[in-house]
Amino acid sequence: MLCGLCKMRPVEAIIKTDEGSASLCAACFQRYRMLKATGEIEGLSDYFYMYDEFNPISAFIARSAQMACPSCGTTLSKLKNDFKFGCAKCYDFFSDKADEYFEELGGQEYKGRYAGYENKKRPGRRLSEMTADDLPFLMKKLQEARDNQELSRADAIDRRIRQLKGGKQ
Amino acid sequence: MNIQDIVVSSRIRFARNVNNLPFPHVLKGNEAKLQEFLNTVQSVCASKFDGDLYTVNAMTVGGEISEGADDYVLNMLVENHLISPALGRSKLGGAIISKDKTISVMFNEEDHLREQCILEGFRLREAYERLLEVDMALHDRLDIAFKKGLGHLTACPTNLGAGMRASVMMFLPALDLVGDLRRIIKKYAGEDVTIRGVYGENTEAKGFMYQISNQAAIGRSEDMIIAKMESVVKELCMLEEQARRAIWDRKGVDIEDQIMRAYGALLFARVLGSDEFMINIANVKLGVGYGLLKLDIPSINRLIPKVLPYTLSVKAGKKLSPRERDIMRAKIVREALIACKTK
Ligand SMILES: [Zn+2]
Ligand SMILES: [Zn+2]
Repeated sequence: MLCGLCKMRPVEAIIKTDEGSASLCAACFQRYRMLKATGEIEGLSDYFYMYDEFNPISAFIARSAQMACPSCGTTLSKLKNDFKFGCAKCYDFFSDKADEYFEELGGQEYKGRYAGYENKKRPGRRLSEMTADDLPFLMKKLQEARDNQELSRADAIDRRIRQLKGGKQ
Repeated sequence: MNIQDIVVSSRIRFARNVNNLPFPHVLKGNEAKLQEFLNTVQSVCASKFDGDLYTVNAMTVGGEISEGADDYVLNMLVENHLISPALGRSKLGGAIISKDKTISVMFNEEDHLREQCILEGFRLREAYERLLEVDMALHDRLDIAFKKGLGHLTACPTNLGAGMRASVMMFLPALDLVGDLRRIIKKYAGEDVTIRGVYGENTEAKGFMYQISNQAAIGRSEDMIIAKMESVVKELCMLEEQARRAIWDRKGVDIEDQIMRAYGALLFARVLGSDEFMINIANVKLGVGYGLLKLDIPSINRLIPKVLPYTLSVKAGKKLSPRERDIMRAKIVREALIACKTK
């Protein structure tokens, strides 16, 4: 089922209020929550009125281009022009645009050193912090690095393993 | 030939932002929050390295890099790659730079934070590990903007993901002279690696210095970026070596003549322009590579930034005229070349 508002993306959230209910995509839902939190809309009917589906398409486009991130005031047209987001919350407010850029840039999820930081999880420990207890883990990482042809990483791990086996900290 | 003779320096840069503060290009007001952010950054940096604070407003007149009277400190930092030219245009911008000049944490450039570590020679991974130490401490104390899948949130979406750029400065005279560089640049562009000239990119006189960097790579991990850069650098070193041999085979005596004249000019000049210095020092380095001159390459690499125009002014403690700079440069170069002779 498609989003009841933009009619473009699949439904991910259903909002139930006294005014009725609406099935929205992630982007439209996110925007609803933010506009409501900042008091720019009172409820669902306000929100749908903003989109004003009875007006001509051009009015709808003009209106949505002027929709501004409640945190920093960046508008959609400014974002498209400058190719710069105005704050971290813009990535939620304009999440459809963020997804679009993400796809254009290759669409591969980040799985690097800081993966999991959204839960404020610290990245993995540094090699120098590893102790003899970590030897089995390090051997596994060494094999991985070699398999992936990450030679300097493999060297660094190998050096640490030899240090630890030599009893040096 | 030694890879460390071709690779001048290695640099890692991270782009980071915090939640609940607009990005620098729309950052107005918010004084209290901004001050709190800057205080935290300063205190984290102080716990990790011994550094100095520079702010753009204190360094320039009107926050613009210009030919003004008081801006040579700012320009010196740009010349030495310790801050970016863009930082000079940010009224709220500044940097905390370690006393040994290896670490620089810029604030309010395009992103709230641009951290970098530069090390001499081919030491990308070491630069990464060192910078990570500062970066993790900043992550511990600040509310860093991050989203699952997208990674670090940056003003410009091209920096999403690791928010990391790895660059290596290389000395590639032979590849440039045999004219292979254009083809190589094109080949690597297809692999998301850019190569561009440093110090006078579009001028006649240049030092054959090139900066090799990774391009935007949203899904790539830090390890993948470093591994890719390392393999590109090794490949370029091999190509440079081949080109040097080819040039020598074709016109050895002419090259030797050119190198020795350049060395003579640097040893005996009393007034030495910046372009003249760059082209001659490049020939001298090539001479060391060919075994014609016995000089210490890292010492020469350290000499080059010391005689850049604004760096000379900072050393003199006042804005120098071009002629005063040329005289000062000749003296410094002469003394340095004598000091860096090896057996
Ligand atoms: Zn929708
Ligand atoms: Zn925003």
